[in-house]
Amino acid sequence: MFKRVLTLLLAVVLCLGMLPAPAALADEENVLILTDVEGDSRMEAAFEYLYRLMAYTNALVTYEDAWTDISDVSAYTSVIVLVEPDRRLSDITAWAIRQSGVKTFVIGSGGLEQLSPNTMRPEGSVVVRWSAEGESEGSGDILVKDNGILLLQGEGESLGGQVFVNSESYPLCKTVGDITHLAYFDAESNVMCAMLASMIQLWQWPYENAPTAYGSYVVLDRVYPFYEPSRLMEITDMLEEEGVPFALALMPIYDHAEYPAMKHFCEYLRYLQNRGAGMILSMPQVTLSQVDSEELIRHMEIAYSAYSAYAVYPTALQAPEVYLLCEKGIDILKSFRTIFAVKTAEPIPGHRLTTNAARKDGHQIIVSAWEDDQAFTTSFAQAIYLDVNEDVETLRQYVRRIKASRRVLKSLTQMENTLFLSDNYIVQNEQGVTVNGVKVDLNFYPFSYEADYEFDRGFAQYLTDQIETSNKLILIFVFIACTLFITFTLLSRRVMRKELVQGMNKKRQKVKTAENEATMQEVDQG
Amino acid sequence: MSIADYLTLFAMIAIWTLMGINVFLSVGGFIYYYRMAKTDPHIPLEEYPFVSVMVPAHNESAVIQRTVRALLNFDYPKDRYEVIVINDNSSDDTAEKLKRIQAQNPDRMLIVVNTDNKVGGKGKSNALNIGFSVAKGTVFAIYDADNTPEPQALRLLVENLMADESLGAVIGKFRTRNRNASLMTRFVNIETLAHQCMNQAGRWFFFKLCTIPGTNFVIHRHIIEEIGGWDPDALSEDTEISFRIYRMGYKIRMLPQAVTWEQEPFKLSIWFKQRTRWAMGNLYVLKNNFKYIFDPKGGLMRLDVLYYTLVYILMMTALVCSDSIFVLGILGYAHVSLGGLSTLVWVLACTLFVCNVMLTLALEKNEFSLQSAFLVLLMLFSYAKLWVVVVLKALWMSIKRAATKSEFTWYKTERSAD
Repeated sequence: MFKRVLTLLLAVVLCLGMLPAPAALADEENVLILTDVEGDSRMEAAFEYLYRLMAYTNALVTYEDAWTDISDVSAYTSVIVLVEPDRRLSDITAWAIRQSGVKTFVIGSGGLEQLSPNTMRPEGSVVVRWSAEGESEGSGDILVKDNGILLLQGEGESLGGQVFVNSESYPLCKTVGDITHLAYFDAESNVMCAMLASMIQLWQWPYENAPTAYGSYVVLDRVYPFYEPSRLMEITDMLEEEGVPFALALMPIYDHAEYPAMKHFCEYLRYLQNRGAGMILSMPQVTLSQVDSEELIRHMEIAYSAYSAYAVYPTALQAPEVYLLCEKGIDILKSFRTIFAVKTAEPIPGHRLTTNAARKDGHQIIVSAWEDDQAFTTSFAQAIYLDVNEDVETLRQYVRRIKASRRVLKSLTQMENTLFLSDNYIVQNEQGVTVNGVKVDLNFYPFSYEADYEFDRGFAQYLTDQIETSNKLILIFVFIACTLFITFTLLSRRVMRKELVQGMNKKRQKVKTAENEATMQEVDQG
Repeated sequence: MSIADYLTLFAMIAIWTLMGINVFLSVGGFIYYYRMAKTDPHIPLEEYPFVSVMVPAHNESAVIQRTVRALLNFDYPKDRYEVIVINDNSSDDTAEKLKRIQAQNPDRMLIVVNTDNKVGGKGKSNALNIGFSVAKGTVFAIYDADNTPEPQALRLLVENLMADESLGAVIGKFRTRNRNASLMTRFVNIETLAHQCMNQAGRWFFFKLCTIPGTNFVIHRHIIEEIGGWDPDALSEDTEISFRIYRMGYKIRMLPQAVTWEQEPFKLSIWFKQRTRWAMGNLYVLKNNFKYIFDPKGGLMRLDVLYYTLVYILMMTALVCSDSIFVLGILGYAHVSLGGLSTLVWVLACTLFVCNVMLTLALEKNEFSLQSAFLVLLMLFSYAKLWVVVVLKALWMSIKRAATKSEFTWYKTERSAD
């Protein structure tokens, strides 16, 4: 009995030992972001970018107001401070950060003096130069108003950029002890945005070696159903010639997917799919705040079926970036693992979230690359979009420029993409595509077409035919009516002219009669 | 198929049906005008009946003298007609001006009935009923206070009325006196000419139907007595009385040689108020007479009820639909997926409209010109669109009136001294 109990206890201990240790969670970066920014200010724009950046990088973050008292920050592996220059952190929180020794990244001057005693405010005209020593290649100057910049003093490592005060140079971003300080940030500069992404990745990276470099994906944007395959072929042939892996962002289709033109279009997509091109389904073009989630998902299912019916399997979703930043959008995106997040002007609906809520769904997020070539970072995956309406030679030059850059071009099919839609679980990896665990045939074979396809548009087609017939009748009717009217008009004018002539003759006759009468009277009087 | 598709289809069918009807009526109207131009309309009578020429006038100081002088100048036996001006609660110097003309013409039968705000000021029908109570004639002739009838107009109307027992009334033609006053009066001039040729003459030619236009018409006294006078609730007493005459089995004839010249609204605001009143009045008549459309005893009158239904209900809704879809389409809110809707059809409709109206202008002296053709085209995209707004407003006001059971407020068309 005792032996049995001992064996059971041993088994329980062994089983528990096989479970992931809680310590493993502690290894993960857990960032606390403290903010106090004003609407429409430069720092507000900076926060907006930081908020998006955390979503791009799938970071585990908690957003807190800078004035909130947090007496224990040990739950976090790092802290980012983004506060207006004239605002402060809560003294308790500042104290807790100093006491804990948690690594802290301060953007701008707000709160820095509370976290480090070693600061200086240089006097004189300040020029910020963000000549990149890291990934971004841009450079530029911004003149900051006098005494408008705060710098961290002491021995430390520079993470890039420079600040010039009266010709004296200081690092733009510097780490001293636990504090890393970015003296100036402007979200309007793409190069600075790219630099910040690289700096934060480098700051968070716990190892000595270089952090993970994420690749770039070339995407043919807005490929509409029924797009002329021969035109598409010219572009894809060029990309293959240049050795560039690519994917196609397919626009959704809800009706008439059975038309031969769609079949022909999909036949070519299938050919490309077989040759390794990735397929991305574009989200229906709707404003998130007005969208009915169920309706949108239903439309996505219809659009997906339209392609999968021809064995074309989109394995990623292209959606506006704003979907990643609010609960409603996150809920819609959850069926797809790989998301191509497109920058749009659409504002984030509702309140900002206090965490990076999209993270729980484990997305692979690929963000639109900046159009500015100099704004370059490998701290998150990016998509380079090609306009299929551009001429092939222009696209070729652009592709060559991309190839010559430091970007690592990757194929969508090299990563594992999954999605769950219409009760189908679809997985794409290097082995191919499986639907509900069953591997599908991706080999290309020509489609067969019906010689005389019956375009079944039902009543609408019937009406169209009737209208076309009526148009001919209308043409005949108008021709006859106008001929009749013109004839009548000419007839009327002739009658009018006759009346006019008769009227004039009558007048002349009257005048003559009057003259004759006058002559007669004169003769009589004479 | 979307709602936009169905509405477009409805609008197309309705518009082309109405265009077909207009073409048909225009052909009839032309033939009638052409025939009349070649015939002498005079039918001398052995004895001319005594005629009461009635003119309702409310604040008509600007135009009344000219009108009364024209009425006194009729080429009709002077002792066989009287002119009754119902000075209907005027606050201007209409009464003084009328008194002056009376003094200048002591030998003429010019009767002025001045009413106050208790008896008068309740609209044209009420004023005509007051005039009717003092009139001696066996035939009544009605003129608006802004009219200048040609001298032979009354004689022609009366001769033709008396010559045919089946006629209850004979109407003449009205022309625009101030057609060059503004762009609006030019449009109104074209509209009235086209309306009289296409609708009045055409309907008379094919169906022996005509609607009394409110001025320049003669009617037997016994008919007015039988129908109990004018309906004071009717804003367009002319249309209302026409329908009652039809129901009595009489015909109303149009005589294009009997011409009166009238002043038309020269400003958009005046035009809009006047037309809203007309449209409200016609909708009232349509509402009261629609039941006869299914009554076999209604005879030919049913065609007129149908015609009014087509114009006021079908055409209005068709134009609202097509214009709305056009605007929403431009804004990106509506999309028509029906095939076969070509621009050519639209161009054909415009061409037909221009040719049709130009034919009616060709029948008049000094109206047919390139400038008129341009105006007709311009009308199609401006004036014709206003008509939809007028009918919609009239419809809304009629519904509101029915819901609140309020009385009509008579809008008196503003005049100018031309």
